[in-house]
Formats: sequence, C-alpha cells, structure tokens
Amino acid sequence: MTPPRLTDANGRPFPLDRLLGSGGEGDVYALLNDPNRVAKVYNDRHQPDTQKVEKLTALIALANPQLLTVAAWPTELLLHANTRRVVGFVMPRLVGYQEIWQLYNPAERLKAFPRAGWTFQVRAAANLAAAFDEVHKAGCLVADVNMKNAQVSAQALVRLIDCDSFQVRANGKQYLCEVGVEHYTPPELQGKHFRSVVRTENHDRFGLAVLIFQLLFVGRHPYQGVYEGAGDPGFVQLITEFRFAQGPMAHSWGMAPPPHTPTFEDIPPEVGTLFRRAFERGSESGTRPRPGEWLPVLRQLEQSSVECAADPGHRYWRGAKGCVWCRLAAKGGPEYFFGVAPGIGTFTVDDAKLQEVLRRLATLRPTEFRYDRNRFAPQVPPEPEPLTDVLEEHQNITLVLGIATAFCILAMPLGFIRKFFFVIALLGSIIFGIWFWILLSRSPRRRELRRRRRARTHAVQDLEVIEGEWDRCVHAYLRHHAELSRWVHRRIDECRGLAVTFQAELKRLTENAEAIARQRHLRFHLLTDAEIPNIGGSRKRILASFNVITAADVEWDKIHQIKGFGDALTRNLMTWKAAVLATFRFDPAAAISPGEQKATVVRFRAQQQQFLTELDRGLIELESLEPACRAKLQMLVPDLKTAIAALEQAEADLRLLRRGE
Amino acid sequence: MAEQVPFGDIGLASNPEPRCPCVLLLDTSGSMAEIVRDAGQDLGQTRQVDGQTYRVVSGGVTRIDEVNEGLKAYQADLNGDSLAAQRVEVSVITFGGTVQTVCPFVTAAQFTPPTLVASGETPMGAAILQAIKAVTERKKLYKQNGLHYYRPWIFFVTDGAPDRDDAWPMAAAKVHEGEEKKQFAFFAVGVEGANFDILRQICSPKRVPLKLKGYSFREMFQWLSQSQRSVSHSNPGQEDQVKLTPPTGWASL
Ligand SMILES: Nc1ncnc2c1ncn2[C@@H]1O[C@H](COP(=O)(O)OP(=O)(O)O)[C@@H](O)[C@H]1O
Repeated sequence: MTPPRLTDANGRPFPLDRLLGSGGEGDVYALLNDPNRVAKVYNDRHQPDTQKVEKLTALIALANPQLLTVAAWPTELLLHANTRRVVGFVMPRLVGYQEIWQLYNPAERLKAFPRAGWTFQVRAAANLAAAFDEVHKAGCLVADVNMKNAQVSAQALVRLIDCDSFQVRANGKQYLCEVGVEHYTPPELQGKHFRSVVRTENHDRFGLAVLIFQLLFVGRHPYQGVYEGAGDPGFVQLITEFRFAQGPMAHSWGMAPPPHTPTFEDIPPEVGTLFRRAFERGSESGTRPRPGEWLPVLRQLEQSSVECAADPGHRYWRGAKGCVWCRLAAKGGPEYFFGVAPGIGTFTVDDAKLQEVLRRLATLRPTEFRYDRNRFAPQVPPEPEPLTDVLEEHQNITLVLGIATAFCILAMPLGFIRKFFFVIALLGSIIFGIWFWILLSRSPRRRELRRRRRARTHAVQDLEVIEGEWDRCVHAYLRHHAELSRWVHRRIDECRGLAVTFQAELKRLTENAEAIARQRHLRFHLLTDAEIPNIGGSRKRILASFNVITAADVEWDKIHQIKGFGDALTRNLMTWKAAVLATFRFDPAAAISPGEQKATVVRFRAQQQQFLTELDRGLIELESLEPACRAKLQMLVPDLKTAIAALEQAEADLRLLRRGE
Repeated sequence: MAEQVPFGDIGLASNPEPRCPCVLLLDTSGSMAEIVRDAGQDLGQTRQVDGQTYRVVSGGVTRIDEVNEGLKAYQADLNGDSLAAQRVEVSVITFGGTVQTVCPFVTAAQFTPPTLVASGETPMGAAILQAIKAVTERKKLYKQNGLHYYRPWIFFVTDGAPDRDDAWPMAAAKVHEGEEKKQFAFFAVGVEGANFDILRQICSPKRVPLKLKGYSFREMFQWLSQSQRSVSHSNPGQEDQVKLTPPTGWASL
C-alpha cells in the first residue's frame, strides 16, 4: 500500500521513505531526509476525528526535551496533501530498541539481550520509572501500559511508544485512552470499559509496578503464583481479588510464589514494601508508589548488588542469603542468567562437580556393623542360682547311704570268719543299696539339672531370634547401600555421556545446516541461465511449466515423467545438477547460528543440572542409610542385652550344678 | 514447593508468558489420502479405503498434503510474531486407525510441523476424549507452575464419520460440558464428505461446525494462526470479546 502524499502543518511537502512497521492503528515510515524521526500515518479505519486531532495538538504543545528523550513524543502534525486533513504525525525515531517483554522473559532475553544480567534489568526498571515520572510531570498518563509499549535499548535506556494513545489533560479537558491490557490493569479497573473511564496516576502506577516486578522477578507477573485455595480462578479473577503471590502475607490469601523463582528474601525490604504497596488490597485507595519513589530504591539496589563467586554472570542483592540464581539452578530450576558472562559458548561436563560427588561417595563406605556378643554381655558375671538346702541334705543322706552300702559290701569277706557277718553284710548292702539306688534315681539334683539345661536351651533360642534380626538389618542396609552406589555410578556415567550427546547434537545441527545450505546453493542456479546440451529455450519453458526452475527442482523421476524428456535429456539435466553441486562449498564452523548453539548449550546444561540434582538427592539418601540402620540396631540392643544376660545366667546356673558332680 | 522436579518444568519456568494452548485434532484416516489436484496418470487399479473405492493414480496432491502445507504455514506465521511464538502452545493429535499424540504441547517457538500420513479408520470419539484429557493435564501443569493461561482451544478437523461403535456420544457430552464450564473452546471444521449431522451434535450450540470451502486448508490454518495471534496479544480471559476475523474465505456455516 502506498502512503498518501503528505505535507507538514505549513503545507510544505513531506516525503516518506520505506515502511518500518505496522500497528493496529497505522503504519510507521522512515523519512526521506531525516534519519532521526519517523512518521506515523493512520490507516483508513482509524482516521483521526476532531477529538483525536485536538489530542495530538495538545500532545505536540506539551513536547519538551525531557519528554522527547523518554518517549516517542509527537512533534508535528502531518496533513494529507489534497484533503488537508490530519492523517498522522512526526515523532523521534527509535533505533535499536526492543519490546520490554523481550528483556524480562528469560527465554526471549537469551536471544534479544544475551548479555543482560539482573542488574541490567534493575537499571532498566529505574529508567522505566524515570520515563513514567516525566510523563506524569507533563500531566499525562501512559494509560495503556503493556509489554510492548515500553521499549528498551542495549544500554538499558527505556522509551515509551504509542504516545498518541496516552491519556492527556489539556485545555481543561481529558482525552482518554480507550484500550488496555488486563495484566497491566489494576484490580479496581478490571472489567470496566475504558471508553468512559478517566484513569488516575494511581492506575498508571499499577502498570509501572507490574513491569518493574516482571523485570526483577524473571518475568513473573505479581499475581502469578501457586493458588492454594479451592476452584480454578482465571488470572483476571486473581488480579481482581488482589492475590499477590509474594510477600509475608501471601499465604493468608491462599497464594504461594511460583516454583523456581526468587522471593522477597532476595530483594531489599524497601523494594518489597513498594511492591506490597502496589499490589496488596488497599492499594486502590491511592497508596501505590509514585515513579519518583522507585528511583532511589532501585538505584540503591543496583549499587548493593554483588557478583557471584561461581558465575560472574550472576549478580544478586548483597543482603540475600547467597546467590539466588545458583540456588534456583541447584534446586533443578532454569539457569536464568547462563552465558551472561562472556566466554561460555559451549557445553562441557562439569567434571569437578562429578569428582565431588565421587569424593562424597568414597566417604560413604558401608559400615560393617560387625556383631560381637561380648559387647552386650553384662559387665559382672552373673551370680549362679544357689543350690537349696534340700538338695544338700538329700545329698548328705545319699552320701551316707552310699558309704553304708560300700561298707556293707566291703564287710562281706568277714563271712569267712563268721557266716553270720556275711548274712548281715549282704542284707545290709542289699537294703542300703536299694535305698541308695532309690534316693539316687529320684534325685532333686537331677531334676534341677534338667531344668537348668532347659533354661539354657530357651535362652539360646531367644538370643538366636534377636541376632537373626540384627543380621537381617545389616544385610538389608548393605544391599541398599550397594544398589544406591551402583545407581550413583551409573548416573555419573550418564552425565559424562552428555558430552558425547552434545557433540552429536552439534553435528546433527551442522549437517542440517549443510543440507539447507546445499539446497539454497542449488536454488541459486537457475535453469534459464544454464547451458545444457539439447536444452534450449522452448524446453526450458516446458520445464518451467512443470515448476522445474532451478537446479534444486531437477530430479530424475520428476523430469522423466514430463512428455518429451527421455533418458538422454534427463541425463543431461542430471549431469548439470551434479556439476552445480560440485561447486558447493560449506564452512561447518559458521554453520550453526550463535543463538541456536546457545539454546543447545542451555538445554544440555539444564539436563546436567537435573542429573546433579538427582545425584545430590541420591547421596543424601545414601548418607541417611547408615544412621537409619544404626538406629534400628540400637532398638534391638535392650532385648539383646536381656537375652545375653539370660543365657549367661543359665550357663552359670548349669555350671554351678555340674561343679558339684 | 514440590521437591521432585520433572525435566519439562524448566522450560515452563524460563518462559513466564501466559499460555494460549491449542490442540490441533486432525483427521488422518484413509480418506484424507484422496487426491485433490494435479493428479497424474490413472494406473488402472482400484483400492478400498475407509469404506470407499478409489482409483490409484501416480503423483498428485492429497488432502493430507494440503494439511501438511497448512501446518508449515501456520508454524511460520506464528513464529513471525515473537510474542505469539512464546505464548501460543500447540499439540497435534491425529486420528487415523488409532489416536496418536504426534506432538505433545510445546510453544510455537519450539514447534516443528510434523508430516502426517493418512491411513485407517476414523476413531473420532476417542480422539476428542484424548484432546480433552491433554488440555486438562496441561492446565494442571500450568497451575502447578504458577502460569497464567487463556482458555484452551481444540481445533477439530475431519472429513469423515465416526466408526461404528465409536465413543462420539460420550465425547459430545464432554464437549458440551467443557464449553458450558468454559474449560475450553471447541472448534469443528468439516471437510467435503464429513457427516455434519454428527458434527452438529458434537459441537456446542454456541460454536456450530464450519464447512471447509473446497480444500482451502492453508487458508484455514492461516486464519487459525492469525486468530491465536490476536488472542495472545490482547486481553486473555476475555477471548469472547476479542473479535476474531470471521472465517469467510475458507469456510461456510
Ligand atoms: N518512534 C518509532 N521509531 C521506530 N519505530 C517505531 C516507532 N514507533 C513505532 N514504531 C514501529 O511501528 C510499529 C507500530 O507502532 P505502534 O505505535 O505500536 O502502532 P499502533 O499504535 O498503530 O499499534 C511498532 O511495532 C514499531 O516497530
């Protein structure tokens, strides 16, 4: 679409150059003789009415050098050369600026601002506040604050665009802004129709605070968190209900910060207070921080940031417990500021970390928990159960009878002297012998011996049960330990294997790039320019009608199918294609774009991080095995001691009885 | 905070944009292999596919070829808009013989358009149920990761009728329920040969099925990417108020 011929307000011709960009309302053109300004020309559906022309005129009247440095502020009206109607305006040109979401979104930042670290974002936040400050000082509001209307340069300078949609107060009138994006619309305005809403500075301050929050909190929206309540509220509802996801009170309205993001612990309390004043209930009454309040606090934050010892690309607030970016990555989150410090263009396996894992593993040799019964035996040998008097008495009688029997038997030879003596001795030995035998066979001593033997057998069995339990515990522990150790080794091998996979991936990308480059090379060679035997103009036209136009289109089946192209002609074409291919050169070093390489590196680093996190978890489990086993064994000790004491007692009792035999 | 962190979460965390998920639920039954233009020579054979008899020819562009071209244009258009590329999430589920998730949810920036091949019957109901399940699970993941999202879309394209004993009545009930509770928006497009009677029963009365004009798949996908771009740039949550350009040019009611 060609733009209309334009003049400036004084009727002088105003020539345009090429189209720079198109928006919903109009097109933005470069100027033929001014590289520092551009023209916005409204499209047919958005021709300015009297209101709009008044608004533009008022904006132009407000223009001053400060506004012109922080916004693409309108400076001049542009008229249609024939109708003399206002169809556009002139404004300063932004060169090298990108939309602010491309900075706060970590995935996009990798491409748009690859060297921007956290302090860069803090600086951009301060510059954004400064830009809002200027606009507010001029009595205007940005009104339609959003992720695209603030633009950021490679030096973190911020410019506001789309100034013709600002809310402007002039000549006692309010020129409204009729649009808005919900994420930047304060709770109290959600669902309202902007056509009839006069916005206030407090509303603008909400949008500003959201953008600052997004810059500081890896792109998260303040009302983006984990909702802990029932139901499934959409985010409009979350905003309307002031459900700010950060800060000390968030839990009281059922919100928790989203996973893998910084929290209020990672920012100074002054900054946290400003966010709470912007997003918590009550902020609608006018308490949201003015742009001027953000400035000193953000500057202070930038100055109090320190570089991380592990990665110079990480910067964080000095008052925090440590580097938040390392902490998030170590917990399996993204590496938000990977590669911000120059010189990390490739992926290498972090062998130092793996060595560390191995060292930790080496200190985790399995404990043997060797069992030694003596350790649990009572200090003092047990006092044997004494033998009772009955036993003694019985023994004495038995002894006397035994002696008497023996005496009688020994007395029998006296029968040679007198027969009578023999009879007496025989009778005596029979009586005493039987008596002795009866006493001996019904001995309570024997009973006692049997009893004590039985007691010992029981004690042995009881102890064996407990010792078996001990053995099982130790075995389970050793088996678990061995399994986990093997798993750790396997994981380490897999992690080391990432290096190989990474190289393979690069190779694949290179090969892809080569295929694409080859195809492009073929496409550069047009059939019409080529000298091919027997293929003249008319044959080339036939080929063209079958969409065979460049060397890339030449394929045996495709050509052979065309009427009039036999083996010979097709072969000639294929020979030509081969000749074209022979001139193809490819530089593998330049094959992969830095962005692509970086994305691959990030992916592999993330995977490695995942492995390291899992390894850490594995080692922690491994470390917990020994104390867990020890605790279990400890629980067996009282029973064990009792059982051993019982056994020793039984043995001592038995010994005592035997000694007497 | 959950201590167990599955690998996919890192991608969700490093892109905080509100998501605009869309399932492309595409018919890849045998009838989608029907040639629509540039047919070559008749090879004098016939073949039975999906209940119909076709003549076998050489060369030619089939319906599924057009869908594949459309997918490429769709991907390219979304990626021409860096914000939409980070906000729109695409999943491709096909039904031809079996229901297959050809591509699980990824952002448009990471989406590689697949090359689909047509064969088999038309398990329509099972496909719709799988799409609804995919959307439900994705939403759960968003919630766990504290991501905002727009109402998911299910974009259903078919040129046939459900198989016998197909679960489409149950699928229809789920579609009605989902639309009623604003859990997702279900768009249905019938290609020449589709059973519109059944399509009308599946769709919510608020969003009647569209009839594709000829085989303008490419225009259809262009409309889809344009619509998703405008939804993703404007006010999520109020999609109903976003004025989608009418689908004239490629569809009729
Ligand atoms: N001052 C400027 N300098 C350079 N490019 C600009 C400027 N203002 C706008 N543009 C470009 O023109 C596009 C459309 O501008 P925008 O103001 O957003 O239009 P609309 O308000 O009609 O949507 C922007 O995306 C941007 O690329």
